[in-house]
Amino acid sequence: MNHVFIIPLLAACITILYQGVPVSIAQSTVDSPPAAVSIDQLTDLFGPVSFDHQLHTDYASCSECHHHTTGCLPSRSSCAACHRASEQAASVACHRCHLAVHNPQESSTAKDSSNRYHIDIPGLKGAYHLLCIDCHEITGAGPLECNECHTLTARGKQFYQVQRIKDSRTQTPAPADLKTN
Amino acid sequence: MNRRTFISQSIAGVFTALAVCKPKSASGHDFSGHPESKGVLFDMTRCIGCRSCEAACNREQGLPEPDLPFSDTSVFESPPGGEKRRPDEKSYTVVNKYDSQYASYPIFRKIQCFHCLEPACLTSCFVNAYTKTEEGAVIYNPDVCVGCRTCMIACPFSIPAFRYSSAFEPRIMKCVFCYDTRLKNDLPPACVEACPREALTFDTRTSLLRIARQRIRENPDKYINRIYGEQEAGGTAWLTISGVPFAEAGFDDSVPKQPIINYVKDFLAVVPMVLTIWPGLFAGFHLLARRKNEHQSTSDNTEECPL
Repeated sequence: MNHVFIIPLLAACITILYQGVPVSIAQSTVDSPPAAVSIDQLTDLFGPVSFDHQLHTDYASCSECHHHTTGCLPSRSSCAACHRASEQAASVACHRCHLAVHNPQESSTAKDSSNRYHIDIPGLKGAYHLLCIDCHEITGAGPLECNECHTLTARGKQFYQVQRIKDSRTQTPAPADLKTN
Repeated sequence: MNRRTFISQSIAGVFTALAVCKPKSASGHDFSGHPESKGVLFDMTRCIGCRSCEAACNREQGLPEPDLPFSDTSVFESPPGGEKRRPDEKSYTVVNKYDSQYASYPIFRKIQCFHCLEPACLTSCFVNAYTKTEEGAVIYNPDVCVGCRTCMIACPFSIPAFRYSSAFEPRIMKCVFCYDTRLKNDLPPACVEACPREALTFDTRTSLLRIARQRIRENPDKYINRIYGEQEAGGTAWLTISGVPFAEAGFDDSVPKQPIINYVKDFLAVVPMVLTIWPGLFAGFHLLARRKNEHQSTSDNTEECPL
């Protein structure tokens, strides 16, 4: 596999995908793939993920994450049935197929032939978590806990009711202390 | 009308009534839900037990604050021999952890109302507190509920919980598919939207069955070839696919394949017949018996008279 050719493609993909990328990455070319990316498109309950792209290109082939869009044989056999000789896509960005606002009803009811097998495309949030966590589990490398990749935001703490419970926990011993005194 | 005609006509009436009632009870077997009704597919192989669905449900439905934060995974450690968590008055859905000999990874299973196509809770309720909406939700109206809790016994999945803690506002507490806030507007329920790994997929039930079958077909080693809820209890709106036998993850394999109502339909068809025919029938018997006695006593009298 021609890594010299594929890595710049990945760079281009990530450049388009992530809006909060530093200028140096935004201008990355064939010769300078992004080394680090901040995944912050879906930031809400959790903060952005700082993704070491360089590290992952060392471990995984492009098709493991980008499927057939990079022009090489996809790693999943079910995709390879049709995409054996796929050419490189106009954009290899994840969000091109995995939509941030996910509505499976659109893909599952599509009647045209190109969507006959694409009835189950995950949304962007699902695509990230399914891909990252599954691979981290299989390889035994990389973080698995939520807060190892992204930290809870203030909204997230409210959502998971973290802060309030901790406060009430720390407050509960107080009346007992008073009684003993 | 003499006694013989009355009895023969009565028997004929009973058989006619039976014949009329029979097709009604049989026709219900084929109901497979409203054509465009929605459902949710739960893929157990994707769930990692993050409890985001529980947190989302709590916020969406305005449920009481939990004992432990939703980021706390110690709730999965059930006491030895103790029961797993189940939906209660504080939570419409819970996730439990199971260890299976068939999987190297821990199994997480989300429980909530399955929203049956022919709900046993609904059919058991004598004040019609439950409604099966066209969208697929089984919703509950606390205003008409009398608190008999028959639905809790009728449900094959033991889902409805009762708010015992409130003396003045007791009511059934159960997942309502976020009907008022979301499903009515064709939006996915809160738990589905919160799931980071799309272990929950919201779509029409028909499409979900297609998706589930595709996942099983493409990954025969990953999934067992069964969709829980496709036929269970006559079919449910919420479906589950799994990598281990369902019994390993606390699913009840003994849930029948046909709607619970089918088990009592024949009996229930007889009830109105008993109420309408029996009074007349037995009143007729009584009158005939009395008339015979009177006739006998008068004929006795006539025999005694000549003396």
